[in-house]
Order: sequence, then structure tokens, then C-alpha cells
Amino acid sequence: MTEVAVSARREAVRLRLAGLSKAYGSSAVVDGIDLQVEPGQLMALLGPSGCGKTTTLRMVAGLVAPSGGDILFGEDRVTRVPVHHRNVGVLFQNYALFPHMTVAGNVAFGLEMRSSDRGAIARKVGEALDLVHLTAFAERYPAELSGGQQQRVALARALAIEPSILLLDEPFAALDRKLREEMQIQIKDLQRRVGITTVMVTHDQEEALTMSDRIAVMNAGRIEQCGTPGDVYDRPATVFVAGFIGTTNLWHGTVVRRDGAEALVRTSAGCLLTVRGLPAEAGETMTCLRPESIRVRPAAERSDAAANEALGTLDRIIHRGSLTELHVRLAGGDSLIAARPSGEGEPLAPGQTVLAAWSGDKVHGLA
Amino acid sequence: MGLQPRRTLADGRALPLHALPPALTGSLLAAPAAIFLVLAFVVPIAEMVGYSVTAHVTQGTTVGGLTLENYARLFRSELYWVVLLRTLRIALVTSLVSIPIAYPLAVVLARGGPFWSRLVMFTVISPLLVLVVVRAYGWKLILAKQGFLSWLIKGVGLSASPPALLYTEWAVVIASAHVFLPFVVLPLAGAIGKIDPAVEEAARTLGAGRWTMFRRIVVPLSLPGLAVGVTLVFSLTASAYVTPQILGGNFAAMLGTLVQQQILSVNDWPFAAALATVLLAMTLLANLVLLRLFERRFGRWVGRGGGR
Ligand SMILES: Nc1ncnc2c1ncn2[C@@H]1O[C@H](COP(=O)(O)OP(=O)(O)O)[C@@H](O)[C@H]1O
Ligand SMILES: [Mg+2]
Repeated sequence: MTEVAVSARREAVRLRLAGLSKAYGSSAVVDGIDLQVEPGQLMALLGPSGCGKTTTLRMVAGLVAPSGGDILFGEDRVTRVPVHHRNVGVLFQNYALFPHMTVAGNVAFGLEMRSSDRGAIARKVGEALDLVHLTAFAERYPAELSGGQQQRVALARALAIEPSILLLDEPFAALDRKLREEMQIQIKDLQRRVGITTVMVTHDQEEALTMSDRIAVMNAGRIEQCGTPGDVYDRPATVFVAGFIGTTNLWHGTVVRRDGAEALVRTSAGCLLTVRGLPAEAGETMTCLRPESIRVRPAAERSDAAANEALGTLDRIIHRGSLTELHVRLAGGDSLIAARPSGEGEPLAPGQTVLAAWSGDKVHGLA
Repeated sequence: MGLQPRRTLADGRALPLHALPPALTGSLLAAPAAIFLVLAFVVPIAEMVGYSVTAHVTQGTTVGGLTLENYARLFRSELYWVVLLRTLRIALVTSLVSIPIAYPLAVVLARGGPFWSRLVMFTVISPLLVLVVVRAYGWKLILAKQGFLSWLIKGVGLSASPPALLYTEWAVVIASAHVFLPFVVLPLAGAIGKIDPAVEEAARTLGAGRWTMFRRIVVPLSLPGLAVGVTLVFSLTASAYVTPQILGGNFAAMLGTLVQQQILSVNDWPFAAALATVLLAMTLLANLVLLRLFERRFGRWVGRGGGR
């Protein structure tokens, strides 16, 4: 430790969950989770509704008592520390502002629990409101604010106490799309500036991909994969992750030939793909291929498909804003979804015979 | 509010209820109750007030004609003042006493599991299921000089000669608080139940212990329910007759007893009407002041007007 940056804020801490579990009756809602969030990083817990994300978050906050395992903030084991001594900032889904207190009163509440120095409290309230650009609204009541403003008040209130960890539970679910995207950027920005270790629960993969440093994909009370947005998107560890995040073409296939690190895989429908990095002993694999890695062009009726190509009939063209999806029915019976930027590429019409092609390094094989 | 679009049918067919403007639908739905109230309450009250200013009794004979003599007499005599103040005092103390008893019950009712909330509900409602006279005599047995309470106090050794509670204002307060408890607990539980549990959790994560959370979140947010409950208890206690009569006797007589005496013993109906009018005005005033006070405090929390 040579020079320590002079900062009013606490050092960011590492959050560690070790074998964390929660059972209601005989059903395990959270089933032995191990997770580590590096200091100052934003970790998203992503998964379908009911997979145990909120329960996990509430255990970290101290609102739910775990049935097993441990929670550590830095070196401190906080598993048994009661909620009001745990020093966490929580942003609740519907903000949970105190309706009978002004904006300033809301932000001051947590500070009043910690100190009776009125001057210091007023100063910190001012700082927190400054942080979320709501200084002008200090004397308003929550009912007099818009949804986005209420959320910023909730954030200021959570951050004012300088919590060890910031927890967000589906923070944008109640906002309409435009405001949601705006708030996502604002909150990510603020989180990075404050440099606080953060866990965010969401079932929205886009939200997780845009905001997080790392994503933990949960399913049925377990973590299926934990990695950077790039990791989980490009190199899903399980079929569940591949299917849950984004649209993907998932095919089951058998290895027909090995060529060093590369394996040639034939799908049940007869399509050939080259897959890299498959374990040597794997004889079968699930291949995933993202739609945007596939190019589609018109083809003659009787042309041949080589490896990493497939012949089929264009079934449907779906415009999804900036991307256009092409649904192709392959000769062998499988189907394939390709995507290309809207308005680009050769003109195509449904019913046309097309050749879909991709580069071999875009194929990801699951053992 | 005034900009409701008019919905009329050009051919004059009857409008279906859902096609009416909300304000009109509301008045239609409230009409039967309103008509009943006018006939059974407003008309008799008006008659009573009228009676108190159009006749008075001197030396056993009723004299007609517009007069304020009944009210003047009320304010002249110290006896009536004492009773009036006592009535106010008992009603106020009963309301205040019921608050700390009601809060824990209301919290359990609103937030406890099904077993506990049902148990509390039954316990709170049960005094209403017992005939008022039976209940009052029950309390008489407990509060009498040789009653259960003094036996208990002596037995525990708190005091060798405990003060008799029966025929004091406290006897009336205790029994009234018992009967009228559901009238505070239920609106209070309603108000507590409406508090978003996440708001309580937010307070906890911000560092509030259970007691602080209760004091700074639950209490202020349940005040509207408390206001309704307290005004109910105040009004019901102030206008009670049977309970004060049996437990207060002549030592703690309340206005209701006085009205009854004027009608049945003295046969002075105009004066009884004046007493009843004063009682009514008093409770009405107390209610208005209290509700007004609460309204002013809460106006901004819930957003101004109906504009959102
Ligand atoms: N208090 C509780 N009692 C019983 N089951 C619960 C309780 N809380 C949550 N659950 C169950 O745990 C599962 C996970 O819930 P939750 O953590 O809220 O999921 P998510 O936030 O991922 O949608 C759900 O099936 C839910 O029904
Ligand atoms: Mg949830």
C-alpha cells in the first residue's frame, strides 16, 4: 500500500457467496450457489422467472435467512448479520420510497440511522441528490415525481449510506422502454463512477448484456454459467444458456472426423459443420450458431452444400427493427434462423431456394 | 374533474350503467343509502334540534315559542357542565387508551400468518357478540371492591387495599375501550395492510431496527386509519348509555344518562333535546377537527387532488 487515493467513499469490497442455499419446505429454491463479484464490478443474475434470483438477492441483503452456505463482504462473514446492520443499498422494484417523507427526508433516513450530526446529514443528502441530479426536487413528495425521478431518489437513498454492496432487483421492469434504456445507461454510469460492487437481478438478457461486467445465468436455483457478456453470448457453457440468451441455432450432431483441434460434425439432418475446441473424447455435441453469423444468398435448386453450408427454402422474412430475420427450412428437415442488417444484402423472397453459409470459427460446440 | 365528456344517447334510450360518467354512477349507487339516512337520521335530528329551541319547561308545564332558555339553563348550572366535561374527558381518555392496545393487534391482524390474524380478529370482535348489558355486568364483577381485579392485586401483593374502580370514570373507560376496540383495530389494520411491505424492508435495509421502523414508517403511514378509528371510539364512547350507567353509576354519570333522566324522570323533553344537541355538536366538532388535522398532514403524500 503506497499511495491511497483520497476518497470520501469506502473501498469497494468483494462479494462472495459460498454454497448459498435456500429451501422452502422440501423444495430448494436456491441450490448451493458459489459466486464471486470483484470489487466495483456489476454482476447480473440472469434467468427465467422463478429460478431463485430474487431469493438470492434477498439473502445477500439479509431479508431472507439462508438455509445453508455463507455470504462474505470482503473478509467479513455477514451470513448472520441482521439486515439493519448489514449496510447494503437496495433498489427495490417499485422503488419503495417512503410516501410520507420528502425526497430529502427519504435520502436522509438511512443517514439518520447512523449519525445524529444534522450538518453532516444535510451535506450528504445534498451530495446524493446532486449525484442523481435531483437537487431541485428535494422538498417534493414521492407522489409528486415521475417514475424515472422516483427511481433516482431510490438510488440516491440507497447510495447515501455508502453501502458495502448495491443490490438491484429488476430495477427497470416498471419503466417504459425509452425511459428504461435511458435509466440503464444512467445507472450503469453512476455505478461505475461510484465504483460500488453491485448485483442486479434481471430476466431481461438485453439488460444484462448492456449493463454488466459479468453475468451469472441461473436456472432452477443453480448457476449455469458465470462469465463476461461476451463469454455467455459467444461461448455458452450449457444448452440452457445457449437457448436463454439471444436467438441461436442449436443442433445435435455426431463427430465424423477429427483434424487436430477441429472436428467435423454431422447433424441429424445431414448438415456438416466444423467445430473448434471440442474435448478429444466427445463423440457427440450440441452445436450453436448465432443467426448473425450466417449469410444467406439465393442458390440454384440443385446446387451442393459443402461443410459449413446448408441448402434450404426461405420460409419467412421477419423485420425486427435494425435486423431482419430469415427463417430457412433446410433440406434435411431442420430449420435455421439467420439475421442480417435490415436493408442490406441481396433481395430475397419467401419460397426461394437459398444457400446459408457461415465461417467455421463461428460454430460453438457444447460437449 | 369537470371535463368529463358527456355521454348521451341520441335516441333517448336508457343509458347502461357502465356508460354513465363515473360521478353520476357514484351518486346512483349511493342514492338508496342516502335516502335512508335522510329519513332515519337527518329528519329526526332536525326535529330534535328544532324541539330544543321551540319549547321549554317551567314549573312542570311546557311553554311553546322560540327560545334559547334550554341552552341558557345548561350553561347556568354547574352540574351540567361537570357532566359535559366528564363526557368529553371519558371519550378522550378511552380513545387514547385504545391506541396502544390497538396497534400491536392491528399489526398482527395485518401482517401475521393466517392463524394469528384469525385469532386476533376473533378476540377483538368477541365483545361485540355479547349483549351490552351482560358485558357491563361482567366488568362489574371484575372491577367491584371485592371483585376479581382487587383479589388479583391483593393476591400478587401489589397493594393491601386496592382502590375500587367500579363507579369511577376508569371503570367506564376500561369497559368502553374493551367494547369499542374493534372500531380502532379494524381501520388501523386496514391502513397497515395497505403499506407496501417493500417500504418496511427498505427502512430495514437502511439501518432501522424493528422499533424504529414501526415508529417512523408504520405509525405515520397508518395515521389515516387511526384517525378513523379514534373518531369512531370517541363518538361511540361519548354517546354511550348502558355502559356508563352500569359501571359509572351516579358518580360518573355521562351526558347520555342525563338525557335519559330528563326524559323519563323529569319529563322535560325540550331540555333533553338541548342536551342531546350539545352532545351531537360536540362529537361532530371533535370529528371534524381531527379529520381536518389529518387531512392537512396527508394531503401531499397521496398526491394533490384527483389529477393523477
Ligand atoms: N416465501 C416463500 N415461500 C415459499 N416459496 C417461495 C417463497 N419465496 C419464493 N418462493 C419460491 O421460490 C422460487 C423462486 O422465487 P424467486 O427467487 O422470487 O424467483 P425469481 O426472482 O428468479 O423470479 C419461486 O418458485 C417461488 O415460488
Ligand atoms: Mg424476482
